[in-house]
Parts: sequence; structure tokens; C-alpha cells
Amino acid sequence: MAIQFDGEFKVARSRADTFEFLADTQKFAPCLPTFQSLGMEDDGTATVKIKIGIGKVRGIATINLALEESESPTRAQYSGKGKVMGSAFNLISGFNLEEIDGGTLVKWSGELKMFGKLVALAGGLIKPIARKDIKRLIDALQIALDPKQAEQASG
Amino acid sequence: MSWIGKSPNRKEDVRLIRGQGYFVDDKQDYGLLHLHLVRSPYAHAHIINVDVAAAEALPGVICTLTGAEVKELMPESFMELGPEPAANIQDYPMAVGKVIFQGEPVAAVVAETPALAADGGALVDVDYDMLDAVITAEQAMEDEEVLHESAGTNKTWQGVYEYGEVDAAFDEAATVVKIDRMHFHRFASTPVENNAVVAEWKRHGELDFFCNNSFVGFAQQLLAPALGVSVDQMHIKTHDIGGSFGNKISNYTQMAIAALASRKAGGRPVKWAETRTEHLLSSGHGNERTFLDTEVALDKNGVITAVRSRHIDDCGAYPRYEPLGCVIWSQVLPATYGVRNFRIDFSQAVTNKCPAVPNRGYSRMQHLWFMERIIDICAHKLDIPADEMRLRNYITEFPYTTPNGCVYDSGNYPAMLEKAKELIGWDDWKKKQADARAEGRLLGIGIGTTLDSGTNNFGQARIMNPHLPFSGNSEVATIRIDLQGSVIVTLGSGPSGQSHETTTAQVVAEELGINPDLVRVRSGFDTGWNTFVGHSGSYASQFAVTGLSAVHGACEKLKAEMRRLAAFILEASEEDLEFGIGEEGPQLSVKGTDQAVNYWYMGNLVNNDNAVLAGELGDVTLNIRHVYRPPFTVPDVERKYGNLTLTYAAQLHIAVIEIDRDFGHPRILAYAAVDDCGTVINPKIVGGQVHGATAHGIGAAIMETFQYDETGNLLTSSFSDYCPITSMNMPDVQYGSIQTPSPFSYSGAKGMGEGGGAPLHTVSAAVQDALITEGIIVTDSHHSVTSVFELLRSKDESSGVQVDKR
Repeated sequence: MAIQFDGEFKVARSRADTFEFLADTQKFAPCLPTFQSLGMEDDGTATVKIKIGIGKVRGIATINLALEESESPTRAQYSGKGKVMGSAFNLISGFNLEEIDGGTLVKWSGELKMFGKLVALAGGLIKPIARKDIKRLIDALQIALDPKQAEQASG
Repeated sequence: MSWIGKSPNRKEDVRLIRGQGYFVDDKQDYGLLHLHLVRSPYAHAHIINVDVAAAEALPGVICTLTGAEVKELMPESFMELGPEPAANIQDYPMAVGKVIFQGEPVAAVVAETPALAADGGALVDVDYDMLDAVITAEQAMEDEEVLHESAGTNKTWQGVYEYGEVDAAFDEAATVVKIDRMHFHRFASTPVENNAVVAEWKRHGELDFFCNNSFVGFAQQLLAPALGVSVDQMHIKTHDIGGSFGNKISNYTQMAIAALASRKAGGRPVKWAETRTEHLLSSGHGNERTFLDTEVALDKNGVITAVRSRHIDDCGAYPRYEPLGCVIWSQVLPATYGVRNFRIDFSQAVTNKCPAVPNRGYSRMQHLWFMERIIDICAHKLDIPADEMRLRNYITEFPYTTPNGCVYDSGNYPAMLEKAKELIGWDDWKKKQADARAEGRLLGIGIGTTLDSGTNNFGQARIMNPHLPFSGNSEVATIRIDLQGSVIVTLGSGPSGQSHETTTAQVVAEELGINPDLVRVRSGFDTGWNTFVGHSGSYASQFAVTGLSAVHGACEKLKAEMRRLAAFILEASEEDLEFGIGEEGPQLSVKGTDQAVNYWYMGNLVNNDNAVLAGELGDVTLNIRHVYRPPFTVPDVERKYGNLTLTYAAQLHIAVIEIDRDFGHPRILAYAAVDDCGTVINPKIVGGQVHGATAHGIGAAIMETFQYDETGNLLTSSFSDYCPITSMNMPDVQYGSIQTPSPFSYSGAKGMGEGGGAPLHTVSAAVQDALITEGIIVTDSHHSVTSVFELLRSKDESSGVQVDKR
């Protein structure tokens, strides 16, 4: 099962600052929804644990997350391979950064591929839940990158 | 009193309805260990590493197995029945280096309890490198991604079946109907009991299995060389089996894992009991088939004169038993119709899906569905009523030799149609349909005529692979009178719910003039006890013909011995003796006198007090083995010609279905099923089998499907998604029968039970009839709410059917 996602948001930070944040695994990984822990393997590679599940079927997923592309200050892309409860998922998440008046436009896109028991058990629920989690990741990145604007946006 | 055609209570029910059945998971042994299989979440991937250290460190875990170890422990991989390239496939019960389908075992954990084994399984760490999945057979045929490097191609078998003067028939046709593409979907019969085995590889080298395999004679031939033991070292036993429908023929792969696990665990018995999700994901699915470029030639009266088509079968990840499915359909080449000219180009390919296994109606139902679709599509296109179209095309003279040499023994399809119409109230429904159409409602009436070619003789195995044996469909039974005078029967086949104990007792009672209650038919199957041949087993609807003919033959021989013995004891002539029941139980008596000898006396004399029998009665043992061998000849492999089946039961169903125009929901308003299995031995059992096959077929037609996504995830691997049919979804079935006795079986009975997938043909026909007013042609066998909704939504698109009138 594959889910493609994309979108964009603006932040009141310079492109260089924004890139520095997004290309830093130690800053990026904690923004993953239900983040539990992070262990760095090397500069660009980490083992991240997140809670994952649907309904009462829940577990801790282990993701090997790698900064696959890093073209300062325009593009960063992560790839991840995760395992949980007899299931597996592959994640690609990329960010293209454009300078705009007063900040940076972050264009994000990616693909989540899921395999195994969780997909079968969750059935039709998995896509909406995955989309919700992707939105939570983007929201978390926005807040981390631009707390004031996120606060204003929320209200 | 005759016991044939009666419905005594089932002998099996004495234990089964009291909760005293004995199934594999009931077995508890001292020192019993439990096995959990770690399965691949990916459909297609290289295995980079399997780390079992954490699992092995868990207290209570005894050992683990990986694919690499399994390969090391097995002297050779499992044999594939097909010739090259299928024969070159390395087929181990656990993935070695590469997984080919989601759910394929990659490791096993053996522990003191099932829960500990599962916990250990969660600690096994497997690294994969994912590959692109090949999901359709058509995609597989392109060979862009080859699944088995050792085969070098995904195309595992191909053959052209050509009979008659096909091109000439098309040249002379009044009409040619062309159908671009049809598809028969993937489903399975989901027996109540999942696969299970207890294996014990004893320290002295003998290997015991207690399992629910339904074709033990075949399983042991595959297991023995793969595990490096002789057939005699291997003891396979079954008892009660909660349904198989063919699915359990192929659980020998899991039996092998359990055996190797027991060996590694020092010879302790190891139990593996499959979960429902595992069963749906990985135990075996029915064949999925695609029919391409079909052309049908018809004369000016709507009689079909020729069919040419290209069929591709999807056998999933490993062919195993499966290439038989490439040939077995040809038992019913023309279906119930008198078409003489055929050209079918048949191919089979492997895909990254669960391996296909035999499934109720195996391979033939796909072809019968294809032929029924042809009939209905042509009928609609030529504006001939569906019943009339069938009457114009039915075979009516029997025995009938098909273009490929099969011999249909007997039948009367028009009479079945008449009976089914009567049962369902055909004329009333036609009026209601006219009213419904006037109101804009979608109401359809569909007919499905089908065949259950019981007693396949494995001639198709020879056609598919000339190196395979041709069984000729022989079967074995033993009967004996024991020390206490009891009549004991053993069968070559292990039943899985077909009531073999009851029908066997009826046949023996009939022959010996006694009561079925006095006949003990040993339950289950035991290679150490039962006598059998290499192809003994419960499959292909064969028992009523082959199994009971073996029982009948054994009875005849036993009676001859009993007559000789009784004549000696009673000092009477054999001609003056009669079988029956007297005051002292079953006996032989001298007609018109009170002289008699009972079974106890004869049994005791032969088994105990037997010195007196020296001399001319020295060969009397009252212990008979009989092998039934039907008169088959070896098929012509080059021409793919020969008689592949002894009997042909027939089923004719009619369904009335209304489809919700807005949501696509197909609702069955009425259903009739007429069966002809020749002489009926036990009407209640036949009725049960007809209802069971009908339920399975309706479930498959409107609910059940194994749906994969583009990456090879099975999306329907639990009963909440697969949705098997239950009594809540089952319509009332108006059931009737006719009997056209087979001239080829001693009793006139025909093999039955698989049902030929009649409801699939019938539901497709009814859905077609309901939607024809919308210009929709049905070309898929699955009619769930979603798929019918899609048909309604896409009704403006081309149907893929062209009519060329000349």
C-alpha cells in the first residue's frame, strides 16, 4: 500500500536556517508523531522509535532514518525503513526550499509504503490515519521552525 | 432391506456433535513444544540477514530455524510436479535468500508454549531489500522481473489444446462474438479448521506426523525425499479433519518445517497450529485465471460451433502441485455443450502472491465459468433467451465423447433445467422481471449449468509432464472379520467431512445383509494401519465411485471366503447359503433351515481356533485387501487426448437477483439447485454436500476475494475483510435432484461434492441479466457491492464485446 503526499508551508526563517533545521536528523526526528526515542548511528543516520498502531493494535516501531539527500540550502530528503508487529514500512520525505519575502517556502513531498499485518488488519483505515500522521509531522515541523507564526495561525 | 438410497444417521456425528471429535490441535503429548512462524511482510524481497539471537535468548525458547538452516537440513528441495522450467524452481518450506510472497515463512521459533513461541517470533530481526512485486499473471508473463532465478522465467507452463476444425468453423460461422477479456477472481474455501500438524522426529530416526493433510499418499511422496527419510520411516496419521476442500493437500510444506523443528529440538514433538490470518495469507488460494481474445463461432441458429481463446492462470509464488491446474480443466473442455472445435492456448505464470492450491471445483470451475459466460454473452448479443440458448447447445446423447477424448457417462441437462425452473417458479419470476424493468429496477434471472468431473485419473498429470505416473484412479479398501466377529473396514482415503464412515457402512451393510451400525469403519487415516496407493486421498469428488467401488470389491471377496467357510462349518453347499442377521447377530444361514453360523464363530475359527482349517481352507483369512482399477487407457500426450475422468455429476442452478441501482448491492431473491450425481447412496449426505458447495459458490460470487494491492499486500487476510459466507448471507435453496445412473460405476453413483462452482456461473448470469438493460456485460466472476457499483458507474465504457454478423 503506497500513500503519496505533498504540500507546502511558509516560515519566517531564512532558507539557510530552515535548511539547517530540516537537514539535522536530531531536530527533524523528534517532530515525527508519537516520537519516543532517537539514537544516532552517524551524522546522517539514526534509529528512531515511534509509537504506532490502530485501535487496540499498538506497538513501538523502529525506523532506520537516513538523510539521503542534502543540498544546502535548497533540498533535503530522508528515507526510512521501519518495522513493527510483523509489518514493515518504507518512507521517503523530501523538502524543497524557496526564498520568499519574509522567509522561506517549504515544499514537501514523499511516499509512505506499508507492508504486512498492520495493513491487512487496519484495512481501509490505514490511509486516513497515515495522512493524519503526516499532517501532524508537518504541523510539528512548522511549529518547530516558526513557533510564533504557528501560534498565530492556531489562534 | 436395501441401505442404498437411505439416510441413516451419520456415524461420525456420534462423536462430532458431542464434542468428542479428535482434531490435531486437540493432541497433547508429554514434552510437546510449539512452533511459531515468522513471516515476511514483503511480497518480494531479498533477505539480507536473519538475526535470531534475541529470540533464542528468551527463556522458554528451545530453538529457532531459518531458511538457510532449512536448506542445509533438507537433502533436496520439494519436487514441483511440472516439467522444466517449473521443475527447476528451488522450493523450500521457508524462504531461502529471497521471499516470493507476503506471509512466506522466513524463520521459526520453537518454545514451551504457543505464547512464548510468538513472543520469540517478535524478537527475530530480519533485514530485507525490497523488490518490485509482480501482481498479475499478464505482468509476470513479460518476465521483466523474474521471481525464480533458477527457472529463468515466470512462465511455468504452456500448452495449446486444439481439437476439430477450428478455422473452418470460423470461416463458416453465421456470427462471431469476440470478448476481449474475462477474469476469474482469487478465493478459497476456508475450511473451519486451519492447517495443523504435530511432528516428532524420533531419536531412532522414525518420523511421526499427526496432521490434517487431506492427501497423505501424495504428501509422503514429497516429504520423504525432501526430508531424507524412506516412506517406511515416515508415519502419517490423521483423525477428524475440519474440512479441506482441496486446500489441505498442500500443507506438506508446513509439515516439513515442524519435522525439522522437532529434529533440532532433540526429537521432542512439535505442534504447529495455523491462525486464521496465516491461513488466509499463506496456506493456499484457488487459481485466478484470465481469458483473453476469446472468439466464439455460432451458426444461424445460435449453436456454438467453435471457441478459440487464450487463458493465463496465476499460480502464485510456487507452482508445486499446481501445474495440474493447467490441464485438469480439460476434463470439462466443452462444459455441458456440444461444441466440437476448440483452440485454447493455456499458460501459467508465477506471481508474488500466495501459492495456488486445489480448491473445491479445482481448475474446472474456472473453465466452466468461462463457458457459461460465453453462452450468456452470446445469448444476450443474439437476443436468444438464456434457457433457449442452453437447450440449443446442450449435449443430449450419452455416453458422449468430448473433442479431447473424455467420456461423459450420463446426464439429462434439459430435464435438470426443467426441474430447476419448476422449483424456482420461472414463469412467475419472468413476469416479475418484466414488471421490475418497467419500474426501472434491475432484476436478473441467471442459469448456471456445470459439471463435477469426479474421479480424476491423473491422466492430466501425464499430459502436463510425461514423466509423471498415470494412476488410472485406482483406490484401495480392506475389510476383515476380527476375532470377535466385528466387521472392520479401512479406506485408502482420509475423509475431511465427507461422511465416508457412514456411506461405507451403508455399502457394506447392503452387501452383507446387515445393519450399518454393525460395521466399524476406522476413523481418520494412518499410514501404519490403512492400506493405500500413492494417490489415495480425498479429492476430486471421487469417493463414491473409487472408494466405495474398492469397498464393494473387498466385500465381494470377503463374501466368497465367508461362503466357503460357512459351507465347511455347516456342511452345506455354498449356493444354499444366505447372508443376514439372526438371533446371534450377523450370520450366514442355510436357506429354509434354522442352521446358521454367526460372524463371531467364523472370526474366532479363522483367527484363533484355526488348526482345523489346514488344507483347502488354509487361504481363508477373512482379511481382504481390494484394489479397484477402473478401465482407463493412457492418454495420448502429443494430442492431449484421452479419458481423464470416470463419472460426470451435473448441477444446474437458477438465481434471481435484484441489484440496487444506487449502491450496487446484489440481493438474491430466490435460488434453486438441481443435482444429478447418478444413483444416490445417502440423500441426506448428498443434500448436505450440495448445500455446502452452493454456500461456498455464493460466498465466492458475491463476497469473498483475495485482494492484493500493487505492492503485494493482501488486503483481505482476516474474516472481517475476506467476509466468508455465513448462514446470515445464505438464501434459502430450493433443492431438487434427478438421477441418471452412471454406466461406469458398479452402483450407478457418480463422484460429487465439489459442485463445479455452479453458483459462480449462476450469479454472474443473473447479474448479467439484471444489468443488460444498462448495456453492461459481465466479464468478472466477483460481484461484491463494490464491484457491481463499479460496473454501474462505468457502464458507458466499452464492454469489450464485439459481434460480427456475416
